[in-house]
Amino acid sequence: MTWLTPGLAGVIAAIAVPLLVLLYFLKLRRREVEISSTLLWAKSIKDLQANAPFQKLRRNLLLFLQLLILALMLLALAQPQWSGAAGSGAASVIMIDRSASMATLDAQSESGESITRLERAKREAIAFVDRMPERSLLSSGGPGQAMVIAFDGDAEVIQPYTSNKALLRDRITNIRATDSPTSMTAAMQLAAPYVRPRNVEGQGLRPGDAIVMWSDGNVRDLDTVRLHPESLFDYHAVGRVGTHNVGITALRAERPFDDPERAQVFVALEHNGTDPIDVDVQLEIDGRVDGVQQIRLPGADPVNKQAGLGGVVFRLERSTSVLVRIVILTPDALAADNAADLVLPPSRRLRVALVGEDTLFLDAALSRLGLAQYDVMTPTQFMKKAKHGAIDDIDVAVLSAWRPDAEELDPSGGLPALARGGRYLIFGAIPPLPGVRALNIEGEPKPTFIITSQREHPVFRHSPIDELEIFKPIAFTASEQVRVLARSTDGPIVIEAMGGDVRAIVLGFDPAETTWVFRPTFPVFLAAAVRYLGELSDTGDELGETGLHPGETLSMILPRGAKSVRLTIPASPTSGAGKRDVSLELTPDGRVNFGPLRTGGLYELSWAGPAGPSDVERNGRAVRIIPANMTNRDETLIDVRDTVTLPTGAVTAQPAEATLTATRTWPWLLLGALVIVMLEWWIYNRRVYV
Amino acid sequence: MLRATPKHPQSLADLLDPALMSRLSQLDVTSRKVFAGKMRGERKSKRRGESVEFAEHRPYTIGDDIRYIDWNIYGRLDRLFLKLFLADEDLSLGILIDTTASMDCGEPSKFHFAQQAAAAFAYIGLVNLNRVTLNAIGNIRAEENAADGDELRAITPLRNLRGRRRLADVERWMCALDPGGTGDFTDTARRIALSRTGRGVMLVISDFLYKDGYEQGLRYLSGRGFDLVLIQVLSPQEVDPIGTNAVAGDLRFRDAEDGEKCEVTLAAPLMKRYKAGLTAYCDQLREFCSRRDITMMAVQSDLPIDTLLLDYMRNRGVLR
Repeated sequence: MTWLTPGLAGVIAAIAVPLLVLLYFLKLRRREVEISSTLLWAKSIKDLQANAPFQKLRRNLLLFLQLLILALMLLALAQPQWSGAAGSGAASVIMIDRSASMATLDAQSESGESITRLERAKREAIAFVDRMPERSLLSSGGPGQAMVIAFDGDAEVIQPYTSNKALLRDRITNIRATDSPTSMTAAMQLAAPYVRPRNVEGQGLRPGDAIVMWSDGNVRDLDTVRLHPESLFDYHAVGRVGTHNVGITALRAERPFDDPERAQVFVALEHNGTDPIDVDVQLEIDGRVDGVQQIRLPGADPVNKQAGLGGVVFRLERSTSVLVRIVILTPDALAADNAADLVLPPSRRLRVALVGEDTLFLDAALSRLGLAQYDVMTPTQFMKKAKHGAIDDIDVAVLSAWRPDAEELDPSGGLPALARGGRYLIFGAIPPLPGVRALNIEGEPKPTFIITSQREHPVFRHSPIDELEIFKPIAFTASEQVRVLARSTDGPIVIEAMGGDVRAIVLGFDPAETTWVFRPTFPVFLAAAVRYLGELSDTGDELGETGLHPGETLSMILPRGAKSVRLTIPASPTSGAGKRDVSLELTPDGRVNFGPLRTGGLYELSWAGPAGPSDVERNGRAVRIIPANMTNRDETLIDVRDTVTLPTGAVTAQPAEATLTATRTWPWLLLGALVIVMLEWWIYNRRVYV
Repeated sequence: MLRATPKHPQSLADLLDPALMSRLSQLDVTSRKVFAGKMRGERKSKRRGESVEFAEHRPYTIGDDIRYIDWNIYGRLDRLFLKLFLADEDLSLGILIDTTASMDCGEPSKFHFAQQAAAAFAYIGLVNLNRVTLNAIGNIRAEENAADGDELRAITPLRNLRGRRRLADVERWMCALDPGGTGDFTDTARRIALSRTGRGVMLVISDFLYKDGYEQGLRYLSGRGFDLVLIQVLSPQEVDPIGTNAVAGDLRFRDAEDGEKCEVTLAAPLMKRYKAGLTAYCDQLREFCSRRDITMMAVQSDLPIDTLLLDYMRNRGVLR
């Protein structure tokens, strides 16, 4: 039971009840009647009123009814509601998870109808808003206030703090599900000014506002929720425990080095059920069904928290660029992870040039990669060819301890343009690329070693270089424009940089100055890096990777001369939003940005102007297809967590059933009062004596 | 219970219809006790007198009337005995009527009923040559001090009426009675007891709802040897306030005599107690009377007066 305005009702009760009883004592409306003698009446009343002053009121039906009416009206004034949990204080931050897993269709409405978890969460949140204390003249606390934050991978303040319940209800109703992963970090950053501990003078640190979160508990980064130990964190779990789901958690394609006409599409599937399950997986190529495979996924192991994992490999022979779509035909609770797309680029055998003076180790490794074309040249030869524009047949240039003096070639100071703009693998030199600056350090460089590397990056995926000792490192700084792939004790040592159409992986050391060249990981790295650079699409994606993911930002460079850029956002079955177009502005460096993406599917970026090598032309406009796939195992494993763990301790979910059943009872109380008024009127007029 | 509609009789005929009066003429008041009368009447007396009924003999003494010597005994015993006869004497019939405001209540009015009963008894008494004394409980405002508004005096009794010709006095006195005000039963009874107007039958007609009690007054009267006959008159509204729809709801009762106020809410518990209280009060009076050999009957004011007189009174042996 929740009381929205108990203070007001209490004050009025304190006044009205004694007043009513007093009025009955005074009996102001008594009719005076002259009788023969009060002798017997006085005796009778004395007997009746023997020891209790309140005996006057005993069995006085009219007073009883009036007190009942008053009680009902006072109860109505206090606005009681039946619910499981009380409204939590004056100010609450309502956080609603709208991530992909919240689109699971396993919740139930009050009428037993199946609804999505998000829908259920919204209804519970609206019930919570309804239970918030109302504005009252007499209550010291004032009305309850709430702000609404919807979060997925990102977070958004849907409604700043307000006590306007209609507004809050409206805003909550309009929250739509996305296909994004779940992260609390951004939501906590938005809520931080309100929920973080406050330093109150004389009291020290006091808890901030309460957080009320509706989620299925699949939140990875709850450790970012830094709260006062006494802060109220209400977690409401939505969804049913034991709902099964199968989803695509990874998708990539590969063309073998030796046979690029063929391609393999690898699909990873996971499911959270404990029983093995047969899943039909369909391959579509350019919209046409190409094959269906059935796979039996093993049951998940809840003890070891391992999902049922399996994979399917589709083999296809296509040398051209095709759009591949994988669809799980077995129906389940979450539809968003049942399909994934990728654009398979055309087959290509790479043409690589090694430029440098002393290229013993590099040459030995590169010459064995089975490349379509492999040239070794000195820097002079390279520059000469560059001046004549004869290097546009090189896909990847590997520069060994040398960097071109590009200022002669390009006034802007970039690297010489190769095929598709320029792909460079640079050892032991710092190229003139944005965000990278070499440091002049006097004296001999001090040996260093690598302390961290991004092992999930394709170039290091199979060849980790952790703890590699470097004898002559080159000191340089890297800004946020570049991606640091490895760090030494002195700073960045391996980076991925880009400038214009140029992409480059830069290693701040010569491999000959390390022991790396004697390790088997060196040729593996070389192969991975050349392949990565050579097959890197114009979007910056590796071949066959799943491209963008919902929650990420679309950011890519368009060919020079592109204008009137338009992005077609796919329709979202999750949120119900239709397909729509948005216009994008080009940045001065020819880049377009859009995001974060909310929906999975195929985005179409089109512009007027020249098309890139992997783009298609349609209706006089260049079109680039960009797949955005959910492929997130955290969202696919849709198990509902009853408990979430914060740095301050575990929080158990509030009983969700109780919160939704919050119903306003004051109209019924008023109706009851009205019925009793009518009953009293009838009794009074009928002179029914009891 | 409620104040009655004023009904002032103008003549005896307003109280007793002629047919009833003719039937009453055949009745007489009886007494369970034999009293000495003052005058010769139609009733045996304890005293020896000149009736035809033999009482006893006693020896002759000088000075006795020789007309009463029983010569037959003298012939047989040769001694002089006087033959004594019972004397025929009249009966003193006192009628005490309550004229306090409490009697001016009820529908029909208790006072009207009491007037009818008193008039009937007075008529019977006069017709049978009894000495009738009419007395009233209650005060009237003294005319000479009317301006002051406070001076009250007792109603002047009408004493020792005898014979039909005094009916006019009775009629005048009776019609002049105006119920209202207060009255002190004990004081009135004390005055009557002290007046030594002679013992006899005393009829008291009242509701006996005296806040200072009826016991002392009745003791005064019974102590003087009166053959007391009490008629307790209650109105139907007093007996059953709810059933007669007299009152309902939340009320403030005001006593007709002393103006005392009493707030009541007529609910079932109170009604139950009231009825129990009334029954107990009447039973108490009845027990008090039976212990002192007083004839008592409680009647409601809606009882036909001829039923009271020809039925109840004859059954109880008050009239014959």
